[in-house]
Amino acid sequence: MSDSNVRKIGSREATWFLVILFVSKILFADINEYINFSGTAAYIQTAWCAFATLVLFVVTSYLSGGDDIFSASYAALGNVGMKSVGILISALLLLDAGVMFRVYADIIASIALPDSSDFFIILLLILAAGVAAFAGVGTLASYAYIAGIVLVSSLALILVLNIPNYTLSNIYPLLGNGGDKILSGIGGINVYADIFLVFLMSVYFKKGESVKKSGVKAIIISGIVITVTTFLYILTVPYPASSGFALPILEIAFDVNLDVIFQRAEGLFLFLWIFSGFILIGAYLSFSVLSFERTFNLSDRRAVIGVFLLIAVCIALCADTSSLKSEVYTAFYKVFTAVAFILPPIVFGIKRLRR
Amino acid sequence: MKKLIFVICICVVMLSGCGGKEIDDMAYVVAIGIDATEGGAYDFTFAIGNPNSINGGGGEDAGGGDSNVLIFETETGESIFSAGDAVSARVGQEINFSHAELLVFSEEVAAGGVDNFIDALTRNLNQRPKLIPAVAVTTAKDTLESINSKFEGNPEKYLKKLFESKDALTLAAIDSRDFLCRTKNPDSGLAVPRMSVGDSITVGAMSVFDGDTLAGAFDDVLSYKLLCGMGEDITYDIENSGSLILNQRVKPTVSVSCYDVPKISITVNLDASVASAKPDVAKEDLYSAAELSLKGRIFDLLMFSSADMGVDVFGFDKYARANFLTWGKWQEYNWREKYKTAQFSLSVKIKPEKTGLITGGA
Repeated sequence: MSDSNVRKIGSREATWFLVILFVSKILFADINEYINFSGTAAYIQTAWCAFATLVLFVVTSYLSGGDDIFSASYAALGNVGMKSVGILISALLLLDAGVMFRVYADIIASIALPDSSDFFIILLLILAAGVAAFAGVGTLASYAYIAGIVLVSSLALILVLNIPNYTLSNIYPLLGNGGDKILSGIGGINVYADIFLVFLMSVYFKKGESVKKSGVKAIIISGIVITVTTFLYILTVPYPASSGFALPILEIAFDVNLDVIFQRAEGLFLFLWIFSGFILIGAYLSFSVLSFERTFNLSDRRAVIGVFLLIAVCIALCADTSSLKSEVYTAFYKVFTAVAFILPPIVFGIKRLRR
Repeated sequence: MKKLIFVICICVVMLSGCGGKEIDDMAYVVAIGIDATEGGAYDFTFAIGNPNSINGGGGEDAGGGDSNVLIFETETGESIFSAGDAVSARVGQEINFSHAELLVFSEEVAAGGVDNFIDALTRNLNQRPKLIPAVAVTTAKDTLESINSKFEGNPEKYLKKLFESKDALTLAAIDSRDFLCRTKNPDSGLAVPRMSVGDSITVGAMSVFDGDTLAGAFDDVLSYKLLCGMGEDITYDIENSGSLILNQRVKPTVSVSCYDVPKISITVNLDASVASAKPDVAKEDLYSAAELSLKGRIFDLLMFSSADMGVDVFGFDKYARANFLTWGKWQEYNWREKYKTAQFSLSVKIKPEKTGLITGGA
């Protein structure tokens, strides 16, 4: 069964689907990376990265002319080129799913289920990711409309509950580690690396112009959410201590204490974490299967889901020790970002030149 | 159907319980004391809530809730958690830090640096970041054992009142997370309650930390409260004149100009009502006398922090940083050294809390 025949999605669903993928990143240590780079001006760097991503995306989507990356790579590079691009994307997404299995399982195990084995938690994640992969990208994106709003609302609730702990003087010096650092912090666009998935989804859209529309909207919404969250984290935890906490949103949640009214918000963070984890891993697995399906023109993508799940779990189990996991995650993330932002414009550009 | 399975998967994780742990199996620590030993390790004293005595307990044989509300267990070790594990094994209950309210260091431990303890506790997911750090004049063990909550059956609540109520003799303006953040900032110091032992514990002074190391102490908690903007319902006596009830509705306004010698301007605004006044003293004179008296006290404390100790206890660095655009420029300015020569311009303004009071009379 071809997933592209199952369900079409609108611009709204695609927008929120992408918002979930982007915003989920700040639940990890990505805010810390901004702060390590730009200090108290990290929020300016996040806004700058969102703007740069927007420009890159608009240029890429102009070059794409509404095509998806598979048909464009076939037209630009021939059958071998298309297969190479498809395998590369599929492998990267599968690796990402594996790494995410590990990261999410570890955090869930340490925060919420310390007495449970990692295997049990990974098993639950496998179940959710498997269901998501069977459902397909279209179904997952349709579900994401509500899920995205719930995710952003929950994050907003944590930030609102933390209002008494904001100290405005924490933003000084205004330019943090300097304007040159902010500008050279363009590497922070890795948070938006998943934007290239929109060029894999083209066949799912009801209208061709939705590709560009949903991408632009998603980057703007996520840019605002990530910038505001980073700004409020800086107001909560003074620099340089702010660069030392592994999970910034969890630190904000820890700080919430409205006396007798509301005393603990860690549960909200956990909700965000699990919620985004299921969707993120499900999305990577689904897109990996989709890429494989499109690359080899499979008639039934469901046949490969089991194998893909098994490979993802093996990757998760390989990245078992914390140091290895950290190195693997960092190195992989850099490669993933480079491919996500460089591959699509190259493929679409060559196709336009050959036209 | 697929959506339903997906939602069920989420719920399975969301609706997890407490991992099979019962409250009865836990020993809840309400205060931790740390003393140095001769061998270089530490003596950790845990004040654990006694479930049979707290608020009268739950059993038929429970007491009246006024005795033995705490059980004390001491263990030697390298870290709070290894000592906690040893105590758990000894008492047969699992030590739980989630209700801990107070962390007391002996002066010897504090002088050697406390960053490792604060860091470990703050990062521990089972521990709230709102622990109050304090320094014991004698040993931390003696100090904890002197906790005597005569009127409060719940020791955690008692400690909260002791440090955080408006009537507290001290001021716990810094919790363990703030402490950790301030120690990571080389420009800023901090003050925590200083506890001494008498019939019960007394907390009428503050200990000063430079980074994570004990640097000194001061007694004038009232001035510290006012500089922190936390003066509430303070009865202030003016010699041979009367007394005022002072309330601080707004935080002090602070501005710092970073010249070769930093100039720090502080305005403390207070509302006052007359509690008592001698017949021959006009209210305006009472306010003026209080302003003058408080200004002198606060100024002395400011000079003590800068000229004597050289530690920015009040965190003026955060206002000074507004003068600089980048961290590089700020670090070049070297606030830590400059603060030692800071000039203060202090203003204390007291205005009547209520207007339209009848003066004079028959």
